Amino acid sequence: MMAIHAIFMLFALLPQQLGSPKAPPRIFQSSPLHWTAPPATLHMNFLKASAQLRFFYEDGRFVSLGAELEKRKGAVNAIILLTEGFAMRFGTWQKQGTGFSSHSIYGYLPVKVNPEPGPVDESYASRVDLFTSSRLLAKEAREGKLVLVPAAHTTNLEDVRRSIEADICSVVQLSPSSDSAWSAFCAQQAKANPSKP
Amino acid sequence: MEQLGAATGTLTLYDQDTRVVDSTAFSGGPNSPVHSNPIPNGNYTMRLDIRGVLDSSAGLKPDLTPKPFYGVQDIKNFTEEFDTKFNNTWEWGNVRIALNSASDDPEARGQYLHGKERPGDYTHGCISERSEKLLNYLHSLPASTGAVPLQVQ
Repeated sequence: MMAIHAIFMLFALLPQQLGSPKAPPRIFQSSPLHWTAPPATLHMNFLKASAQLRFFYEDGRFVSLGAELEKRKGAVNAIILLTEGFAMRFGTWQKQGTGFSSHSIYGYLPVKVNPEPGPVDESYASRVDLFTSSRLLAKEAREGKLVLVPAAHTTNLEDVRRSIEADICSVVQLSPSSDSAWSAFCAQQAKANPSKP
Repeated sequence: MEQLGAATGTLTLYDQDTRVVDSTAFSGGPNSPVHSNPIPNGNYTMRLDIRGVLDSSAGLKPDLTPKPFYGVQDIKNFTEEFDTKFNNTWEWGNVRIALNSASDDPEARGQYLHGKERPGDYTHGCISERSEKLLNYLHSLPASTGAVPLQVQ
């Protein structure tokens, strides 16, 4: 057998710390998750599941994130793997009757699609206020067949939120006609951190 | 390149102690639109005995992201219903090879070595080799080669 190995030598710059928003959003994720194991020959003790996450901010901003979750076999806590590739939409949400609705555009896709996917309007059935409900009540939130529950047991949500917000502000910066709620947030971020990208 | 902050470096493939292929690559990009860190230093494993092709939407998740893969995957562009064109090589190039890691560091997991057509030398943490020189060499090796370790330093 050939003994082959590869070395990748890195010359890295230190990453810059990005600013934090004024209030954390309520974050929901799809349920149930279908955990799958990698091929047995890899002898890896990890499971992965595709998840849909929704971020609802008190100021009306909204994020949809499709990403891979990963956890060790038998563990409860999982992490979001943005490195696997993810789909991200951003926009706004509002109350609508007894539920609420969201309007969002794609901010990132790891595949170039032509024609480009248009805005996505979603409606959610819920009789409760997103920001005052208990976890159990929030389980009523639905988007079509997608059942959303409060995201718990995901340990890197805060890092992911910061990363996604920075991505969105990059998109907003390039496209001045983008959503006004996000434009206001990103302008505030830029003002608070003038030297940051 | 420096403007986007991606880590740049040399990919070197050895067969025993003989240098077989050298190629340039980049990873991450803290000053790029995606504000990502480069792949963490450490040991990764490329499995040449696991082969596959992404050539239809069956290889994509409903949110249009490619499904996780653990070996060497050919990346194809394709057209599906309603004349929707999926240009997968734009971000991934023609080949992607999973960099399997046993590390608990989230940034070390779910990484790939892949090509890229999109302008702008940055990734979400993966290692990208635009020339695909090393990727093609690894792709040409028989599946029986099995596991090839990759050391990032």
